[in-house]
Amino acid sequence: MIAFAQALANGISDGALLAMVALGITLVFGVARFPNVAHGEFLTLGAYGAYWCSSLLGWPLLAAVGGGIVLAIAAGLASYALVFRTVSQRPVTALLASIGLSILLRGAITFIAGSQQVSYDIPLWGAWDLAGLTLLPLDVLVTIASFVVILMVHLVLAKTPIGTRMRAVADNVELARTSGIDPQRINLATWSIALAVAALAGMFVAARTAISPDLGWNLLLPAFAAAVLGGLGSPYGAILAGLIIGLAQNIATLWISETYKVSFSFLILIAVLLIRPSGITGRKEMAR
Amino acid sequence: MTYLIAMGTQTGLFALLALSLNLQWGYTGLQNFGLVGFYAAGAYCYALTTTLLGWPTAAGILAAMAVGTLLAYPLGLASIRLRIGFYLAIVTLGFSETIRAVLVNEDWLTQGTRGIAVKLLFPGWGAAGNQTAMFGLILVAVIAVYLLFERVGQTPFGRTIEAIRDNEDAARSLGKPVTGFKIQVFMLGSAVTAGAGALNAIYVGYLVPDQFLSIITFYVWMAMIVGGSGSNRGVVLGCLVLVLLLEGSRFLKEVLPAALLFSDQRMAALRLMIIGLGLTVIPINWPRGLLGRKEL
Repeated sequence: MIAFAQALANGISDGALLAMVALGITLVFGVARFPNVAHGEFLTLGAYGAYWCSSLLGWPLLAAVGGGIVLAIAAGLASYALVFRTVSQRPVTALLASIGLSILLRGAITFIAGSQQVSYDIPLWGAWDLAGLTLLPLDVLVTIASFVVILMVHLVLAKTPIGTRMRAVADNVELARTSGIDPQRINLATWSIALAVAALAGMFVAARTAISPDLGWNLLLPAFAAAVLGGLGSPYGAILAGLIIGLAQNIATLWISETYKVSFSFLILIAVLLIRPSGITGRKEMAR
Repeated sequence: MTYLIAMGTQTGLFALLALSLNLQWGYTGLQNFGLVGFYAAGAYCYALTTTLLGWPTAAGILAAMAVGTLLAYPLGLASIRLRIGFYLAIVTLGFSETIRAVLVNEDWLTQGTRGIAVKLLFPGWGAAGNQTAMFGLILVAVIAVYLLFERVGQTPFGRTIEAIRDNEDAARSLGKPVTGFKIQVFMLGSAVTAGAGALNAIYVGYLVPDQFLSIITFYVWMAMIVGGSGSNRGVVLGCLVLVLLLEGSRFLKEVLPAALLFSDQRMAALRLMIIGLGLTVIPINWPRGLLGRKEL
């Protein structure tokens, strides 16, 4: 029973992070119509950016977080301007280019930072013991922060004019254009939000574990599975599916080896495609 | 000479992979990003059937090809029947990572990260003799697969799959069972990929899971695109370019003075950056490659 509650607690922490990553992937898919394989590297860039700002430049916490976000957004918007904008009509080329970019960025990060793990200089807090349930204060803090980020994205999407326009462009570009929305500007806004969320997710993962050039790549597959389960292009689906996959992975580790966590998300992916390819909230025409 | 034979063998193994990928992507438009998963499955299947069960070489290779075919079926069924090609891309990528997780974890079967030894082709011939024999065997395999796929391209089956790639709806409206054709192509290509894995197992002589990282898949995509997807001649040429590029960095290390060199780790990172840059830039600016027939 305690083991199950522990898996549940870990699952919510993992799930909130996965939800953030899947949200970024699905937002970009909504406007650009391709699954961005390089998305994971923006997590890694955010994590390293914050690390460099705090360890090398000695910036305070919030400034370092800001530095990580700025680095990820700068790299992401540069790749949008140089690469993805030029192939907006050729989604398969965009997918290939995103794989190339993913390898290029991982190579560049390894070249600069080396492949050894580093970690943030965070004071160690003792674990909380709640009736046998072990909770790390840092995990709790990161999980709360993840939900705050998700809530903020929700508020932007649902309550602001730019959010309405973003949903309009993701829904139907031509219709949005004829209503006087400039898709180019909305694309930039959507990419920026996805990149900022990715950078924060990268820092959160790094705070819970460690930073290495493979940080983002290792999360890509479960995040893709979550994006598909949620219905590609559907932000709320991605959030819900991220939580589901986080929980499912951790509950599954009660029976299977920890190292199969990622493979388990692959099985979920196959099952979703076989049973309900449009995802839990997705629209039918996405899959057919 | 031995160096040239090693390079030729390397090119041949890549050529087998690139020919399979070209059948799947170049001919049919299937986005297989899990090539290395089938390659690994074939290699380990060969190693296990020949060492644990004592099967002969030919039976091991056939078993590897059978495993590749059988693994391709459920993946294809789950994703190819859907209209969005990206699903196959994501599923195959996940498949190759999963295969590697299985190879690492199930060490009662695969010896995990300790690795598994594979018998030489001709135990009596010594290392050099075996290398030459493997080069010959792989060369024969490349020629056979090349001729087979060229032939397939000219059959009604080949014309149908190219029609599917160019306009799926048109092919469907002519009554072609599009999904079935695509799954068959996926299985055929995967059989060849797994067979190449078996040859790789014999050639390398020792298998560990880390030989089968996703980067291998991306190498092959790079080779196919540089050579020109859709053209079998082109992709073999692309593999030669790839091997020259990969070996070139090793060559640089011997020629350049030490002061100009980066550490091994940085050289590896630099190699990744070049491959990544190539995959990013070439499809956008130069989609036909050297000898390609089709735009991406």
